[in-house]
Amino acid sequence: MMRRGAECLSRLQCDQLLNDELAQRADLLAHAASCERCAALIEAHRRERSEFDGVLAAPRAARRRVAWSAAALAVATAVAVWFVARTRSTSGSEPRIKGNPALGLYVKHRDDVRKAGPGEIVAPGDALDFAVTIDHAAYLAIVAIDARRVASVYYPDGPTAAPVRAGSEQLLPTGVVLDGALGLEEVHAVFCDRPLSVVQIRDAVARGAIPPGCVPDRWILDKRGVP
Amino acid sequence: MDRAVLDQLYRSHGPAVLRRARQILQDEAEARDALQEIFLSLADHTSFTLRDGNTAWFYIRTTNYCLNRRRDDKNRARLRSERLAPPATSASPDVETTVMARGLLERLPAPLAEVAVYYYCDEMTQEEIAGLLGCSRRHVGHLVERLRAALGIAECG
Repeated sequence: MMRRGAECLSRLQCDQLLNDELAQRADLLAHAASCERCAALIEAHRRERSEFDGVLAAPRAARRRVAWSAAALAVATAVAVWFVARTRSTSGSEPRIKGNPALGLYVKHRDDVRKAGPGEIVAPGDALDFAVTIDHAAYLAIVAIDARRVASVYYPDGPTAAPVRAGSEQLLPTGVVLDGALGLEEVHAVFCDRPLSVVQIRDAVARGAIPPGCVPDRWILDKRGVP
Repeated sequence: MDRAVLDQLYRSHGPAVLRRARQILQDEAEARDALQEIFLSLADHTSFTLRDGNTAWFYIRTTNYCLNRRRDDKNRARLRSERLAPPATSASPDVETTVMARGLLERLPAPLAEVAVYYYCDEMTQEEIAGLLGCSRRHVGHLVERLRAALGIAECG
């Protein structure tokens, strides 16, 4: 394969071209017509696609949405012990500032339900439910980044951040079941002043950023392969 | 996610995901396992939609997934053994072979390993990498300089 020239396609561009994602498609194809390297690259990618005969297996249920029963929530509330310190995005030792929105976590491990505290140890298969405290109406998305740095949207199910009303310890309608990726998992609650796309929020959090007009709260869970 | 959407994503992006997994993991079975894992992990992403930019997203997702898997794999020496089938990539620049074959990725800090894949395997420009990672070109240039230095040390050592 010849080296890439200034106008040549990278492999990413080649894949984007074949997926019809590039506006300058005609220009790139015109270049490829006169460039041995790019013509070969496109041809190789096309051949690769034609030979791709893999079959996607059935979806697993490793991380599924759950809606807790009223009884479970009652148990959760009954056993809740408020924590006095937590890991926050701004500073691990920063005291809670009055007025900042906050995310609370409930962990269901087998038949036990507990309220999460700092450095909470969880296990694959544990169910998480969420409670938010905020003194004004806002829009919320919850994004997790696991130890592999894979970002997932935990809440909401819809395409945009979901509205939350002012209130204390408001339980959200859905939670998640943790998958098998072990290690430290960050759970970011992002409270915004408008219904941003959850993809936009997820991508920003994955980059270590927070969209303008949003306020974060963060937990760090220690997911271990304990029975 | 709707199964039909997942299947469409799989057909459109599966070949690139598999290629990237083969490049990094250097093992056909591991690569196919990664391919399945990456797409099945999307099954519960109701918010993931078909849109422009998905190709870049899959590049990042697959690269990070495979780098982490390779770094964490206690048996990575086995993955690089000669008994395994060579990766069926569409191109194999010399530097790519060097980076992938010598186990350098595991020794590089995570940001440098990721940039190594994009820079040497994908032959992306620094500007393209900056766009992909959502950072400045200057930052990528700095990473590339560190990467070159790290590779030079490794090769001399």
